[in-house]
Amino acid sequence: MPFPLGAAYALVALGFVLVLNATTAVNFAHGESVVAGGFTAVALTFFLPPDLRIPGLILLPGVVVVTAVLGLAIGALAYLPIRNRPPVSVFVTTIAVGMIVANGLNATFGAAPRTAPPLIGVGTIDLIGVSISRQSLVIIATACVLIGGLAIVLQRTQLGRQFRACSQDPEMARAIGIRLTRITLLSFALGTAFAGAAGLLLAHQFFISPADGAPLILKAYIAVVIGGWGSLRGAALGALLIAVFEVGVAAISSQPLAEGLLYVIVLVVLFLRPQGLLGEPQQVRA
Amino acid sequence: MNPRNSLMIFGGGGLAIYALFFASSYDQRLLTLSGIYVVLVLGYQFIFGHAGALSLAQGAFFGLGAYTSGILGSQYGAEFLVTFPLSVAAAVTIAVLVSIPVLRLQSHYFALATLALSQLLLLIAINWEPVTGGANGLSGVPPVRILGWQLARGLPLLSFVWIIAGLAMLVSYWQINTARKAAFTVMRETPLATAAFGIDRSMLRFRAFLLSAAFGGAAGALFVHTNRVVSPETLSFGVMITCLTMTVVGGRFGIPGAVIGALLLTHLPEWFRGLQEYYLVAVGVLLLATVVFAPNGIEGLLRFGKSSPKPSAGTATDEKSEPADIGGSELIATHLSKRYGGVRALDDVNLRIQPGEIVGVIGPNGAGKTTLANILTGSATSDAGTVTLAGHDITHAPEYQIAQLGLTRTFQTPQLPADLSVRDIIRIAQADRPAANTDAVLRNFNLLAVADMPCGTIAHGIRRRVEVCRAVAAEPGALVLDEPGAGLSPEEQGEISALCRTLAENGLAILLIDHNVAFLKPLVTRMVCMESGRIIADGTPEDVLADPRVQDAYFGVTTL
Amino acid sequence: MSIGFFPGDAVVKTAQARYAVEERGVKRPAIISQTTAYGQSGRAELERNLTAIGASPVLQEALDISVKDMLPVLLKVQRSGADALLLHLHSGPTALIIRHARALGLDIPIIAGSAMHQPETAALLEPAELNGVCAESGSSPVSDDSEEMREFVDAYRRSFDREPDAFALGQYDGAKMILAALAAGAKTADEVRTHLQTASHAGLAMNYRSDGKGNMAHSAVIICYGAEDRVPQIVKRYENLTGTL
Repeated sequence: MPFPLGAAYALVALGFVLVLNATTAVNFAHGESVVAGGFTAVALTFFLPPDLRIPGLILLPGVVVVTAVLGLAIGALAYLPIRNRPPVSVFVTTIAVGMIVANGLNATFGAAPRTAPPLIGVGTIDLIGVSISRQSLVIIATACVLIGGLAIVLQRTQLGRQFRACSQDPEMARAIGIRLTRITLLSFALGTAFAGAAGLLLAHQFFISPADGAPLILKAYIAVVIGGWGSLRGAALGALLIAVFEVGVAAISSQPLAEGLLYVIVLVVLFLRPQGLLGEPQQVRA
Repeated sequence: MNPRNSLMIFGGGGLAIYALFFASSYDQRLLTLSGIYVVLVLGYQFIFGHAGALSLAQGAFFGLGAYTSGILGSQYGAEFLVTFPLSVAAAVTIAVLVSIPVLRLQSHYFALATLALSQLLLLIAINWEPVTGGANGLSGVPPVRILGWQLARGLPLLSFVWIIAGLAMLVSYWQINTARKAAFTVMRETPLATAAFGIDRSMLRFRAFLLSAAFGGAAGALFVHTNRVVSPETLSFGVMITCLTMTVVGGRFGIPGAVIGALLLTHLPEWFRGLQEYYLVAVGVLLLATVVFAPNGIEGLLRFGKSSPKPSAGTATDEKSEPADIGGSELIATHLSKRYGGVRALDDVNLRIQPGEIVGVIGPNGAGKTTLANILTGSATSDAGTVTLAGHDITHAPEYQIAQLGLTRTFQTPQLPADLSVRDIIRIAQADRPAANTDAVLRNFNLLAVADMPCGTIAHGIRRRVEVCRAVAAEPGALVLDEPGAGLSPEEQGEISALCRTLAENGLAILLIDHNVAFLKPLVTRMVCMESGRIIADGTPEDVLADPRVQDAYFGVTTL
Repeated sequence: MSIGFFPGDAVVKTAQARYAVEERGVKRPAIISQTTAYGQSGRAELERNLTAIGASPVLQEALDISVKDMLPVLLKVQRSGADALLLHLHSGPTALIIRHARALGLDIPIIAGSAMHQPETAALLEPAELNGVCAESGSSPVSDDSEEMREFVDAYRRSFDREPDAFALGQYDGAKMILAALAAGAKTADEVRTHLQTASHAGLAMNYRSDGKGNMAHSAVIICYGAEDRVPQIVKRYENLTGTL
């Protein structure tokens, strides 16, 4: 079942787009933010009583807070000082932040994979005759709740309207009194917290190691291109598509072939439909 | 000799003495490796520095060169004179193939496409075991051997690698320090105006991408003949990150930057052994700090020898020569239409501007004035209708060709790269006209006094004049000026008016877009008013301004 | 010449193949390996050994080290009708594939490579998931009940605050042998080498004897995990494996 991984990819891709829409810049440290979330969960586990088997989901608020702070730091150090330079500069600064996070974790925790406690219990559940792992269900459910929450915030709240105004027309947003810097930093915090949450969700079922960031940012990046640059709905859908594709193709051919085909498809999509499979929702400024 | 050059010479000399007399065999190995990276970084400067595009394929080109030499060398015993050119050719071939779909992409798609390419090549190297040796790679690559003469490790190899690096520097210097350097600067800093200079942007990027690939392939070949094994490591993202870090830290634009970056990043791990596993964290911090605090890298910090002249008002009157008779071309637009989504930006627009005529276009915001300018000059395409210039159909010609054919434009905001001097800018615009006399053009526009100042330092009013001068320098037959008077004092507006009159007297067909009726009225020979994409009045300024529909459309907004 | 105190792939992969075929009656094994240099050489040894004793693999797949979802490859294993899963993966992927195999309910024997016995591998899994997993290893200090071994294990835990694995024991044995060589009068590196290559040496893990090519270790063990804890039992010892069946 590709959906637990797909659901986690979707969280990662959504966080990527949140930052993208606020800044028009690609945050290359986003994969490392997932890793940071996973390792935050691993570290927080030390503070849980070991024998009580407390569900890992209880760590979610802690992980979200820590990674949101990381997001603020990324925004303040790697974006704000160079916001008026060409977008290429932000690529480089966020690559640098990614290096710092990944190698910092590597030096602190070691290169080996770690695991966080199970999110809620272990084992499988019978669902209409099909046995499904409890972990997978919780991953999917948590991702759905977070994505739904984001949708409500963006559509129904004043803050959400400000987010959307900034992504559609930053000059106009500034002109009507929205504090652009504040919204930008909030986007970094929220986007990175989404990545962090994905890290927690992944950490038990799929482990987490310091080198996991690069493949994750690549998947998110591809998801956003396939789903349409800047589209939140497209990013979530693109992430699911990638997960289904990876699992489906690898199961009938082989893993390296599935991966290779994914890259070929990216190149073909960029060639034929640079606006993404599902179209671009707005004019591209990056 | 300026201090920068002497620094380079003393630095280079010191390095050579160190390599010859003091370096241990391990130090020599590091210096050899640095030389290889110099080639890689010089290549990356073309696409990342000069063309301003984030290619993530430089590591892939390096690996491609490495595998080409590795396979040919270890499996077929091929010599360096065979493996080296073929490595370069392999990298360039792949670059040509992918450049067709990839090069026209915007920066974020370009980065992803080049990254996907790199991942694909790495995957092939790991999984195509019979040819590449899989994850183990291939050993037994012969050392550099040229016509039977084999290079020993240590000093001979070190010298050889640096000779190749020196040749790479020459190629780089030759490619960049001609008129192209300025063309690259224009493309990077004012992408909107690139075509208005008559520069073919995609050609320039293509050239930069191929050069980066060629240098990458060359570096890969050198690396493999030095290391004697080839493995998937050469294609890993780590090589790309190393190259990017060297380029950013050393400097994106110059040969000293490439040398400094390559030497520094190969030696830093030795100097910072104490940091142990935190070393790469430190490199990340260095990279971040460089981008934020020293955007042009260490080379940028060392530019003490190059002082920029103080900005002056630039009002010194130059002795004017008689303007050359440039002649003009008739510009005709018929049935032009353009829709953006549901909005009609242009609706069946017909317009004819004869040589020597100045046609002013007025109309409220959103009337379609700038869309008209964009479609005439090729920076946007029309849905229907034709544009002809001196009888030639230019409707579907690319923007830069339209400029070369003799229809140039200015922008609402002058598009002038801050680092280039006024003279540089005029020279680029004249590129295809070697006979043209830059000084004469500058004198006509009263710009001689500021000719050698960087555009970033001159006053707004003068920038406007430079912008018009840039458009005229290519000796066009027709000119489109988009709000040339905006933000100018009445006095400066008068200067622009006088310029326009002289140009029209010389036969140029001029289309002048402006809000400012007071500025237009005495200047133009004919006036056109647009509203909602249509031309609603066309005639003498007096007739048009008296037209009730014009008053309604144009002034109605303000009287309400 | 370098001297190795840890059995090479040729030795441990023979043990893994023989245990699967001779003790577990495996006839249709599936091999999952890594697309790294480590995976590439081990996979070749495993395939060679299995084929030599008449159990050619029905499925072989190499995975990139970054693969997170083992489901596709496990589905292929299921479809191939394999009757055992033989792993030659690094530590993380070994644990990952076991976790996902358990989640999928794949109920064929899993016989893993040496990475399984690194303490950090078992630490990633719950004992319930580990139950029934077997693996090859050079030795298994934590499983051995002999007095000497318990002393070594306790001392190791005290000194390094982690569980000793086969590599730790191999290094310990190696160091002891070199000390013994020095005590026997060896003064130069060459004399140490000569001492090591003559006769056999009793170590904690096994008896070491040079094959003339620098390989000192020719024994391997098969360990299996139970449902209660992460401490495996030694179920089979293989001595004097030449690596050439």
